[in-house]
Amino acid sequence: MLSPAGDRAFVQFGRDLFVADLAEVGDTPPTITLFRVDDAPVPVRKVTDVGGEFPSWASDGGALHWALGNVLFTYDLDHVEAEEEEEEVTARGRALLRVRAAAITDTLRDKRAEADSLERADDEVPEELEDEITRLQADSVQVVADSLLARADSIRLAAEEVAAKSAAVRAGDEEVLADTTETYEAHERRIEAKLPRDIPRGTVALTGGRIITMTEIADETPSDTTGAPADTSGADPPEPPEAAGDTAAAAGDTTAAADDADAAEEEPKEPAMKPRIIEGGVVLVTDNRIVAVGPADSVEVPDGATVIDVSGKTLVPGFVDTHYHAQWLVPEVHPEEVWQYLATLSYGVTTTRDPQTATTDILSYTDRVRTGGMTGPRIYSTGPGVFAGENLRDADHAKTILRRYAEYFDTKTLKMYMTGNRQQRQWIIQAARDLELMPTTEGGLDYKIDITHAIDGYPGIEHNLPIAPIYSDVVELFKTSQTTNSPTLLVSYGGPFGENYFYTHEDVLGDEKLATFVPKANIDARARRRGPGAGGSPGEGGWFLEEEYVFPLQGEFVKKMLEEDARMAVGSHGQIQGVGYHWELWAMAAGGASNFDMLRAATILGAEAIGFGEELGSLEEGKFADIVILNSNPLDDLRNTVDIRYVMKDGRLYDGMTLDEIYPEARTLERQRPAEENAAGAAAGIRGN
Amino acid sequence: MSPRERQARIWRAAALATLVASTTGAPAAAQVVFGPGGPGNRDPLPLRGARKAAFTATEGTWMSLDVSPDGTTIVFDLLGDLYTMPIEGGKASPLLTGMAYETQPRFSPDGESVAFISDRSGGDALWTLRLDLTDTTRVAGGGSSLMLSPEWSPDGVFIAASRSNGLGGVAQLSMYHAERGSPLPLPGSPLLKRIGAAFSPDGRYVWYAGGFGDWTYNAVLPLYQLYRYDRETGATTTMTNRYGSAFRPAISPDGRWLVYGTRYNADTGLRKRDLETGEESWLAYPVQRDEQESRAPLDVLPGYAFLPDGSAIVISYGGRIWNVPMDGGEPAEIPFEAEVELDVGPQVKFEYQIDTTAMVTASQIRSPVVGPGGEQVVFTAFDRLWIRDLPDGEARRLTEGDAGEFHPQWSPDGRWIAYTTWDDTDGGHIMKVPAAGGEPVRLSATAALYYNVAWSPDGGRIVASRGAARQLKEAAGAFFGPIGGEFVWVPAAGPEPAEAEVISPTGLRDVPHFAADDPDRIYAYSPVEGLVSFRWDGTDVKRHLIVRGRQGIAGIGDPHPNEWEFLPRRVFPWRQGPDTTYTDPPAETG
Repeated sequence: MLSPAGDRAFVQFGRDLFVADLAEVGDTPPTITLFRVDDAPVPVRKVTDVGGEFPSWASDGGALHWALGNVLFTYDLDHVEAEEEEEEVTARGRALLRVRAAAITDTLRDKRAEADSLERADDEVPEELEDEITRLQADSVQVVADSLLARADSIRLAAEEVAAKSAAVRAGDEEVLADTTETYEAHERRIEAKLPRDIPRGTVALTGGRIITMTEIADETPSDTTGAPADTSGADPPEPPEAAGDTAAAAGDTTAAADDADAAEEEPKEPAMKPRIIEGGVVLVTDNRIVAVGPADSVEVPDGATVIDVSGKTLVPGFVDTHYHAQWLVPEVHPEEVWQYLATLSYGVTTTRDPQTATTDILSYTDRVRTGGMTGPRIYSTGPGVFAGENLRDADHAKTILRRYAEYFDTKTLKMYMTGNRQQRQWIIQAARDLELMPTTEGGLDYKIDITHAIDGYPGIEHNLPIAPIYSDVVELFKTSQTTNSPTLLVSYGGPFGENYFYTHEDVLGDEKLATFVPKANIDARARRRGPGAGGSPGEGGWFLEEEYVFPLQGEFVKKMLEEDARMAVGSHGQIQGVGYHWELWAMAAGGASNFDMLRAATILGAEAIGFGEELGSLEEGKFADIVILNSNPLDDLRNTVDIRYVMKDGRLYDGMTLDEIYPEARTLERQRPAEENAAGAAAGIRGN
Repeated sequence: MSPRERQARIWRAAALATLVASTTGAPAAAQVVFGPGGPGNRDPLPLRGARKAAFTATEGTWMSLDVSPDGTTIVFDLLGDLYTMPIEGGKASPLLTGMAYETQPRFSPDGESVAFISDRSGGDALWTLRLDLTDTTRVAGGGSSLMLSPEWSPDGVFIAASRSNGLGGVAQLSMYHAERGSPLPLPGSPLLKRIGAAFSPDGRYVWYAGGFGDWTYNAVLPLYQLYRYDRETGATTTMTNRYGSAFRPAISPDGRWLVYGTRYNADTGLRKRDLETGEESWLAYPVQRDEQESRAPLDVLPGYAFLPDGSAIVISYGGRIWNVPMDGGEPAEIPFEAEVELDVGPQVKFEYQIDTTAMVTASQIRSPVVGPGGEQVVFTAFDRLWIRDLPDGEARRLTEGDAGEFHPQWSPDGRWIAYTTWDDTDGGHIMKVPAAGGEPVRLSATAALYYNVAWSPDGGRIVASRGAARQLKEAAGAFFGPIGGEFVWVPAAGPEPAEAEVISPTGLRDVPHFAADDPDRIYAYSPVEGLVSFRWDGTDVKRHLIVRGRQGIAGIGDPHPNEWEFLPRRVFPWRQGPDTTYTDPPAETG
């Protein structure tokens, strides 16, 4: 964009901003190449280090403003240029001094030579020559003294600068910044716009349902000492470990029960644990948090609480989608409701983590959900990924780049997107640890890169390892590294995309809920014909013989990982909004993982993968009230995960078909998307008789 | 798609890639390459292990192996460490351990060294190690290059290996002098990924697998075939034509047999070919799934080897190591037991809290613009207009509207803020509101999708980009701007809404703006034309500046078309300011 004065323009490229001068050259304008700015035919200056967006000119063109997160940056170009001018003047002054000194020395040498030759000629040295030599010698001393003084001055100034900086750093007024090519740093100002947080008020009891808490209690059955459900068939659910009204299982009694188990078991420190599943239980929610979970007779429902009978239903924690893309959020001018998030929430996904966003628009959408301006799941994201284009120079540079996520976007995470070689990737994980970020990664179909991410302790790997089958050595590595893999089998690496299987096996066009939330054009593009490009799907093939799919083989790795207490999470990749999450869940189970293990991956493991394991992912006191209420039991059949009656997110209860709010307020979803016109009602065309 | 069509597509893609490279002047992958003395050499792998994966492995994933020339020893890789063990199997001894990832070991013909690929210097490089551990040599590679599948020439002078310049590059085959040296490229098609070199016993021929591009999602087979390069004549000959592809060639010590992998039905097997007659049969089927459908950084099958007497091959599949007799006998397992002690980096795990404070601070301010005099900044947060005094002050909303409010701009006199609105039901408008607060004034008569407003320097007109409101209402997926957008203007004075006057179609141009002393020309940026200006009727277009740039994983071999957000194949017209050259479409691979 041109400056108001019309003599230069700023340029936004990637995460960085540049300022370029203009030159009038008729029909062939100057071309600048940003990775070779030194070769540009006009001066080009990179003004960002950690990055910037939304650049604008100050009205007089003397400064450039931009933002990153909620920080306003001001880069005072006039000031920088004045400083540079001053530096240049100083430098020229020094050069002049040197030139003068050299000239005096030369003259001195000449005069001396003249004097010498006169001496040799035994002539008397003329007095005026003696005088001149003396004067020149004095001058030369003066010049040396001047230059020494100038040097001392500059050293003193530099020392003062360093002292001031270190004092500021000690006082906490200033961050320690990595050195960048520019010594000047833009002025930063945090801009705090505040709105009330959307928190429902009141207490509600969800009564009579089967509660799959995703927590564990001590197993008191002597014959059954396995920690996890023994079955892996998926069709055979674990025995409900608690009868309705079993008070021993009440939250307060768990510890005591564990102690009892200690005494009875041979291994006293490791009491056998089993999943806590409560038949006919109560979940009590106050505002947006769970305050009690237990059998009916162990939870006191306070007077005035709303009671919602969910007898016969099954309650599970809200699903966590660790690899969710909205595909695509509308940038810049934002709609009031986002159909992708509505679809996602209606299918029980209460938390999404987008592991690579094109733009930062997602931050504003997140803000709107938090303030109740928009309906949707909890939205987290890595922000735009850290790619090889950052050209990481060293560990400090990595830290500068990562401050973008720690201090400006506040994402808690980032996507280390094949940023470079092993060394560069190690710089990033080290910087992330220092900045308390939990990065996730992508190996880009490169098994070797994936494995080195696990060895280096990266907390997340997106997409499946492209090699199958995977054996116990890799499972052992993942167990140690505690890296969570979100395999996104709907877009399998190393074989046909898993989603194509589902498009040929599911009634997508007949899905009433999908039709409610997903635009018809979106569904048509995906489901009517499968081939290269269908619904954005890349590659050459569209239809594959069933045995060609690789996700069942990859599912065997899912099974091994979950059985070995290594970490897998469910990421839909946003392939088809809403129902895609369930397809992914089912695809991951195709290798024989148990229904219970798959629910773990869908809930608590997903929450832990994104750093919210103490807040989300299970139904227990103190956690946020994100609950999916299913008509049928997913432990009987994993396909029941999609049989959703209600979704509670952050304490608000929605109808699972319509997202109309049921509690605390009864209100219809205000959704302004136009219903797809029924073409059969059009005015002309061939009509059947 | 016929092979001919496929080849035509690859040619097109390659031509495009070349074009991209030449128009931007960029190398295929711009990455940091450290020379000697660079940071790579000071602390090549800075991370220290903090945990240990310690276990006894009796199975392993994708173990590449080799048999020593005297037939007594197997060297193999497991999780990036190298081990040796007797040919009969048993206890494996660690040869190279640590956090560096070392893989694909091959014995030198004299049996005294192994060649392998390692990232111990920071990037992927070809190394040799003397088995008496007296010396290691980095033969080639490092920096951002990727290397795979080393193989010694029978005379032990050269090592053939494949190398690409970073992810997305198509690996090319070269020979390297083992005493270190620059590559001696083995000529072949630059479009073929050429990997898995195997020498004939006399050293004359180099067999390899050539893949069409780096990889393809949802691939249709075949993807690789075998080729043979003649070092004497320089001729390359295609040696297979299998539906299930052909890869990982190995030649028997007597030169009579070729073994290679191929997909058959949904599984992978090993074929053997009698090189005297050309006849083939199955050597083993099924073995384990090959890696032809992704990048195959460890080749399409793990490395395997003939016994020196040619009676069998030794290969890993199914997580175990096997002796597979060439005469068709039953494969016999070679059991191994490796005590793995793998250093693993420190855990990076934090427990974040979900904020429950009463007020939400917007995590993002969008489109901030500082007013004349620098005393106030107006911006969008929570999709609404806010204003704040500078240098200090409380941010406050500028209107009470309940529609979305975007793209604010100050009037030249600093008294008004122009902006656009969006309402899912009613569409959007061009608005203005006094900077001091007050009633917003609607300036546009007809609802539409308006964005990127600008005041003319005299303050008389407000220019905006416009598309039909229907387009945003119906947006069914990727929506990066309307089809058929136009630049329009409305009188800034109001007070009644006016029908907007059309200036011109936007095309790829966007973000209209002005130079302060030039009320007659509207400036805009187009990724194709650069910074341009034109008159109020859209004529007399002048170009002022062209900017070129390139993102890191520059489109060639873009690893993830579903996540190409970072390098959109379309123009992103709404980005503030000259958002530079998204003009170079990434080349499709394959």
